[in-house]
Amino acid sequence: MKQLPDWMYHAIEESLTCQFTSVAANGTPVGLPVILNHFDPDSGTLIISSPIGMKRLENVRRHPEVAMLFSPVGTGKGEPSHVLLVQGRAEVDETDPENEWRRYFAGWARRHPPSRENLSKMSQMMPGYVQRAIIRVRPTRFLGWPEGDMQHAPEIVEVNQ
Amino acid sequence: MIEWTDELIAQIGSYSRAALSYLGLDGYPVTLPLPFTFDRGEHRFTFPRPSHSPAISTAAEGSHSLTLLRYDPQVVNERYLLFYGQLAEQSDGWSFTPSRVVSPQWRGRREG
Repeated sequence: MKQLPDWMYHAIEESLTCQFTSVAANGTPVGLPVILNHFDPDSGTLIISSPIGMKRLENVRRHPEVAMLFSPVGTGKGEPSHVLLVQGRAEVDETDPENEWRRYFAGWARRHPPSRENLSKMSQMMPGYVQRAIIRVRPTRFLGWPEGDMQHAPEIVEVNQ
Repeated sequence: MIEWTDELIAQIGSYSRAALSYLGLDGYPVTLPLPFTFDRGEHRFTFPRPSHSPAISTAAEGSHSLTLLRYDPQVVNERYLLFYGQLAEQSDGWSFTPSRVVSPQWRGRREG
């Protein structure tokens, strides 16, 4: 993949949260908070996981074009101030919902440390929580606003897939 | 239809950020973080329009959503409130009129 500006890597790797946007059956894009599980800087692939049966998975199968937004959440010092919108094509992998997502759990827990303790509690509250599909997003375009200045044109990196 | 209860309006006031989602011309969704104001009488959100924002697909007119977000560093958690509705251009920005609201089943849980 084409090299990204350093600040875009920073926005992806150091953001505490991001919004994953998929397109619902009626054509409405819906962006909800997720925890990024993994980012491969060489291929650009972004990975999240979702419990089997979530509408998000149906949405991605029907309309693979998705977006992920990385932006400040207001925690202050150390938090990237950049705004980065990644658009890409996503695929759902449900081949091993018991185990596959666990390969990426370290990245999830790094961004959200309570997840390590919460996992068993969540699996009791929501039995399907630990039966998870992988969503892989292969970026087609990065649109970024360094320092979050959205009154200027975004820096755009197109990716040839 | 949304039942605009005092509780819902109070909830809106507790959120600090908004992410507006619409479909772009090339079929990819666009989600932008925007500061917002909420008109309690008109039940309408308004936002400054960013310069050079990706164009909105006319094919998806009326199909937009708005996610209100609040990050709580004490519990390292993100709460949200999702509205479906209609986005309209104004002379100085955008307005969003909600038609449906969705509360997450487990409020306060971020989906990993």
